[in-house]
Amino acid sequence: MVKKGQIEAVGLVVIVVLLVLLGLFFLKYSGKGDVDEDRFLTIKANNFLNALRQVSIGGSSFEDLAIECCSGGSSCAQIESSMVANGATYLDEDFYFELKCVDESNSVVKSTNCPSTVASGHIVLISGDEMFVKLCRNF
Amino acid sequence: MGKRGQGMQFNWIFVVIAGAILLSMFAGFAVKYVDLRESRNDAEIGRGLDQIFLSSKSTAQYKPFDIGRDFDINFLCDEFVINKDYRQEYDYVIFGDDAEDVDELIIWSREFKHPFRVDNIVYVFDPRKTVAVSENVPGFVEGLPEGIQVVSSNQADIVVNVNSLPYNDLAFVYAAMVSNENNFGCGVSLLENKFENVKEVYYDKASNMPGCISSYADVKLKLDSLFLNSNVEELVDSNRALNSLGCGVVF
Amino acid sequence: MKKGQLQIQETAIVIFIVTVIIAISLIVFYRYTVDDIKDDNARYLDEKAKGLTEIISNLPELKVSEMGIEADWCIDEKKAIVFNNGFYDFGQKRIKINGIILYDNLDNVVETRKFSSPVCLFDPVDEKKEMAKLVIEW
Repeated sequence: MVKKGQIEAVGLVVIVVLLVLLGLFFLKYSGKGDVDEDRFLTIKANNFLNALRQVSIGGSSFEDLAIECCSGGSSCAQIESSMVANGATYLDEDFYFELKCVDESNSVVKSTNCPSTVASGHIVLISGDEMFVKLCRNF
Repeated sequence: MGKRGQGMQFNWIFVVIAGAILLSMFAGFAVKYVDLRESRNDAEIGRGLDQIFLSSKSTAQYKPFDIGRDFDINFLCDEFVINKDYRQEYDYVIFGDDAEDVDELIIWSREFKHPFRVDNIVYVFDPRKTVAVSENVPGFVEGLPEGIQVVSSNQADIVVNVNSLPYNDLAFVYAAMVSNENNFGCGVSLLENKFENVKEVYYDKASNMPGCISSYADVKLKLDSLFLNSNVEELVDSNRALNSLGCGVVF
Repeated sequence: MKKGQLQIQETAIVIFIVTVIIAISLIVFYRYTVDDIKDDNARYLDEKAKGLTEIISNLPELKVSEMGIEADWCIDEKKAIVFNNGFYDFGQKRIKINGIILYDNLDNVVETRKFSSPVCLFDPVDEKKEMAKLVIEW
């Protein structure tokens, strides 16, 4: 009878210990995702475009030259080099940039698309042409 | 035989006592946990409001705040308190009054200029209240966001006495409308300090601008004598004159 | 008698062990909750620091304003140079734009986190705008 009691006690202890351990594992590995990081990177991507459109190149703004490029003008090369230089200096991430013109034949694209995007920005110029930037995930 | 029965009885008493102790331990823990959750919720409300107030400062906007749950808010000089529990400090210009068991607040912000932008003032209002002004103020009703009821003076919960305001600007009419006396005084004081700081920045900027020396000196002189109740026309003209001379404007 | 005593002892041991295990679980749960709250707080402080980029670039003491018209996400260089006058208290942070220190209160902090955002920097003398980096360190 003594042994039966001991077995019961040990059994109870084992069950409780198992439950506690299970609980601990559950608590440790049910973490929240890093959602807020993407929100600020999205703000950063949009800020980049908002700042870029105002940057002075020669006597004009980037936006003016982008509109000229989209209208078939000769400023597309200037746009691309300014965008690449500014992006490389002022963005910490690899990025994909696209100037999507209403007349798509004049659109400018910086590089191949990001294999995985962590944030993106988008603005519409006064002419209706659009600028996109995507920040690539660093693996 | 008797002793065996006594033994069993004793065992049961022991178990019941031990069980009662355990139960009270759990009950105490549960109560503490509920208190902790409430405090955490209060903190979430407080921080959420702080974020909304701060984002309202960046762009003039209007936002209804509705979390689907009643809460109390008290506005003090440099902090607001949620459910008499969570204290959120702030150091920006905001006007609001105490509200009990409120589940919706109207939050809007409005640029305050004199003549340059000094701040985006945030106003917080309990939509259950009705308002009136002691005399007609141009633009008062048009400048209010949706959801605020303007009624006649004898029906209103809040009547703004326009003649008692420190400065003649719609911003202060709204401030008096939404805030209690303490919060109004502190907010006006902070706004005055902010105004002085912005003025100082423009004064220092004018000091560092090259060329057009006499024109910048003129602007500086007018900035020096600019107060919240003074006329701004001459200063605006002096600033505009810089543009005509091909010099960078100060503001 | 002995059987009864043994039964009581057995019950007592079981209750004791169960109580100890429950106490340990409660302590673990409490520690988890405290850590969760600390993480929440750290996340909130991070968000507040990163959100400063929007607040800073909209301050009338920094934002470009020409004849009453303001330029979004554009900071006036002449204003930036004179900004650090002690009026604002952003806590233990350092805020810079392209080398101009807007605010510095990070003296004794060893490990810092950084967040940067592109903005435009306007020179009111030659009226040119260039890209700049607004860096918040905390």
